Amino acid sequence: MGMAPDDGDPLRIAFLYMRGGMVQLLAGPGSGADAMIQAIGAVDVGTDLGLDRSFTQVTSEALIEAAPDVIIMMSEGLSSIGGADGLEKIPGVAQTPAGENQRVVDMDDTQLLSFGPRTGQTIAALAEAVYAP
Amino acid sequence: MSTEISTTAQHADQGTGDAAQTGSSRARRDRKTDIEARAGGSTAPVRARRARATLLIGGLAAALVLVTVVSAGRGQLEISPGEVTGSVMHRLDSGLEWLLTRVGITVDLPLDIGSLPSHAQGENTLWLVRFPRVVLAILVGAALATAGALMQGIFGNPLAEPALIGVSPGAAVGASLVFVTGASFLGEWTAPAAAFTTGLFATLLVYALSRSGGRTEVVTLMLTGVAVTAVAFALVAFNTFVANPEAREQIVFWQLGSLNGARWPAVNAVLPFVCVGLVVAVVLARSLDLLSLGDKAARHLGVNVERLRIVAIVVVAMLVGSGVAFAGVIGFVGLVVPHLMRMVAGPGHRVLLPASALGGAVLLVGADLVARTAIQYADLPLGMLTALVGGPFFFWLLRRTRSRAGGWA
Amino acid sequence: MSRLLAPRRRRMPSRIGPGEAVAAVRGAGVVLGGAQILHDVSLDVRTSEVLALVGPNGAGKSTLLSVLTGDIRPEKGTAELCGRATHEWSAAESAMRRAVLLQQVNLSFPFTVVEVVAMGRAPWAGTERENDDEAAIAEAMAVADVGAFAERRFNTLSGGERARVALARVLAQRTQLVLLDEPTAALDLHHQEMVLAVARQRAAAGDAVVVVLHDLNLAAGYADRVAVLSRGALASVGSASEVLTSELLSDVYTHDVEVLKHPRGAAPIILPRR
Repeated sequence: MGMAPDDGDPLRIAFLYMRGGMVQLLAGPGSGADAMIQAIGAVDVGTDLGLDRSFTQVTSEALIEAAPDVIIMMSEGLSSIGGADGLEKIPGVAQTPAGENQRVVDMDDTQLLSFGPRTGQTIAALAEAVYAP
Repeated sequence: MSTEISTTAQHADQGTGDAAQTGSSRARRDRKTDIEARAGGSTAPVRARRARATLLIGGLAAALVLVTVVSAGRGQLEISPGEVTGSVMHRLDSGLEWLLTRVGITVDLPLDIGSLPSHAQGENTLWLVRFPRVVLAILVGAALATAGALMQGIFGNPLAEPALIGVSPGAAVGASLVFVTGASFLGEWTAPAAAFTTGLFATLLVYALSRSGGRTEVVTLMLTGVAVTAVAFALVAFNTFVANPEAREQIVFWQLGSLNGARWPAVNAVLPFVCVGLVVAVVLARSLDLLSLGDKAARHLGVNVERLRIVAIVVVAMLVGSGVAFAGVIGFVGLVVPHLMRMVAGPGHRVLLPASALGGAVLLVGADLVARTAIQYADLPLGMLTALVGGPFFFWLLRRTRSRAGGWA
Repeated sequence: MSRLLAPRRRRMPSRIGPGEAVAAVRGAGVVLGGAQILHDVSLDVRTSEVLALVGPNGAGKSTLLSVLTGDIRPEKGTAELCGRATHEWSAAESAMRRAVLLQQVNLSFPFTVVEVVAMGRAPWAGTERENDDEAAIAEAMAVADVGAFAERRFNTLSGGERARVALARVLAQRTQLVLLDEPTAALDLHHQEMVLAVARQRAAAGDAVVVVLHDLNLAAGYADRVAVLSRGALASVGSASEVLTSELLSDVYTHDVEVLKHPRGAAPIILPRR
C-alpha cells in the first residue's frame, strides 16, 4: 500500500494479547491483526512463524524466535501487566528487537479488531504509530 | 501351670541361664533364643532399607540435576547440556569470586570451565527465560508433592490431597476475584498475594469448622473440606459468570496452571515459603509416623496430635498457596508422587518427605518441558498435562497395589 | 510452632518403689453424651502388681482405663499419675510413664512389624534412654513372639499377629505402668497365656500392669488384684479368691455363675451355669 518506507526489509510486527502474567496469546492467520499488519506493509510474525490458529498461547521463546521489531498490544492488556515497564519484565519480550528498542504500540481495545467504517482510520493511525514514532 | 509360665518368662526377661530350670522351661528358653536370633537378625534388612533410601534420594537428586540441565537446554533455541553446565559454572565462578572480593580475598577460582552458549541470545535465553521457569517448576513441584505427603500423613489416608482441605479452591477464589475486579493494589503481585491469602483462609476455615470439643475428627475434616470446596467453586463460577471476556480468560488460564509467567522475582517470593515448609515437614516426620497408629495411640506415644495437625495444615497451606499463587492450579502431583515414593521407600516419613520433594520437582520440571516443547511455539496448560498423565497412572497404581498387597501402598 | 520445634524440657520419670501407687483415681465420675459412665470410682494402681478390670459389657472398664491413660479427664474426682494430676503431664511426659494397648489396632500405612515395634521407643527420642532402643525392641519382639514375621508388613498379618505386634510396641516403650485393654481378645489359647505371663513378668520386675479382661479364668489365674465393675461403679476389689465369688459374679453378670476349686491349683475355675 506504499505506506512502508522503501529502505530495507519490511518491519516485523507482533500482535500480542496479554492478560496478567498467564494469558499470552500471539495473533496469527485469521486473527484480523494479521490483515491489519499486512495492510501497513509489515510482516505479521505469528503468520510468519507458521502458527495455524488465530490466537495461540505461546512460550516466551516463541517470541524471541519471532523477533518482532514492533509489538502491538491492546491498551487494557498492556495496563494489566503493568504498562510498558511491566512488558519489559515479561520473559522473552526484552530479548526481542521490539523490547530492546522499546517499540510498543498500544491501541484502544475497541478500535483494534473491529473492522468497519473506521478501519481506514485505524490503519492510518497504526501506520503513523509504527513508522513515525 | 500358671506359676511355671511366669517364672520361665521371668528368666527369659533377665536373659540369664539357670542350671535349676526344669526341662520344659529350658525348652522354652531355647525356643526363645531362637526367636531372639530371628528378631536380632532384623538389623540386616534395616541396613538394606537404609541403603535403599539413600539410593532413592541420591537417584532422585541426580535425576533432578539431569532433567534440569536437559530442560534448560531444550526449547526454540537449542543449547547443549555442556553449554548449559558451562554457563552455570561461569556464573558460579564469577559469583563466588565477587563474594570473596567483598570479604577482601581476590582469587581466580578454577570453576569457569566448559563453554558458554554459542548463540548470541543463548545466555539471555538461559538466565532470563528458562532458568526462572525451571527453578519455579522445581519449587512448585517440591511444594505440591511435599504438601501431598504431609496431608496423607496427617489424615492417615493415602487419598488425601491438598485440594481436600480447600487450599487450591480457596486460592482460586482470591485469584478470580482479582481478575474480575481488576484490583491492582499490589501491582503485578496482587493476584498471587490474593490467591495465597484466600487459600490459607479457606484452609483455616475448614479446620475451624471441623473442630469440636478441642479435637478434630478426620472424617469431619474431610467432609468440611468438601463443603468449603463446593462454596469456593460456586464463588469462582460466579466470578467467571460476571467477568468480562478478558478476565474470564484469565480465570480459565489460571485454573489450567502454567509456569509461563515465571520470573526471578516470583522465584524469590516462593523460595522462602518452600524452604520453611520443607524444613518443618521434615521436623514433623517422626510424629507423622506415629500418627499412622491413629490419634489415640499417637497421643499415648507422646505426640501432641492437635498441635501436630494444625502445624501440618498451616505448612500445607503455605506450600500449596505459594505454589499455586504463581503457577495456578496444578493437580495430581500431590497425590501421585508420594504414592510412588511410598511404593519404593516404604511409608516412613523421614525418607518419604524428602523423596517426595525431589520426586515432585523432577516430575514438574519434566512436565513443564513437555508443556513448552511438545507443540512448537505453543505453551500447553501444565495442570492439564499433570492430570492427563497423573489420572491414568494413579488408577494403574491402585489396581497394582490392590492385586499385590491387598491394600494401600 | 517454636514450641514444636524446640519442645520444652521434659521431666524424666523416676522409678517408683515396689507396692507403691503409680496411678490412682479418687471419686472419679465420667459423663459421656449425657450418660453417667463412671460413678464415684476410687482405685489405686500399684507397682509389682497385675490388676485386672473385669465386668459385663458397658460396665465402664474401658472408660476407667481411659481415665487412667489421661484420655478422659473425669468431671468429678481426680486422676493421678506418678504423684501428679494426670492432665498436668504433657503428652510426651505421660508417654514416658505409661504405655497403652488399645482394643482396636489399626495402621494407616504399611509399616513393617519392626518399624511398628520401634514406634514404641518414640517417647525416649533425644533422651539418654534412646541408647536402649535396639535392646528394648529386640526384647519386646522376642517376648511377644513376633520375631518370625519381623520384616512383614503389618497390614498383611492376621488379627492375632497384629495384636501381638501391638503388644510388642507397648512393651518396647518400657514404662513403669502398662495399661492393656482386652489384649487377649484376638488371641489363641497359647498366646492368651503368653500375654498374661508377660504381664506377670513385668509385675515381678517392679512394674504395674492394668489389664481389662473378659475371661474371668485368666483374671483369676494371673491377677494379684481383681476389680469388678458394674454399671459404672466399683462392685468389689481384692484378690481373686476374695472377689470372684459365685454370689457377686451372678449378681453383676445377671447370670448364674459357678466358682469351683481347681483340683491341683490355687486359682478357682469360673463357669457360667448352663
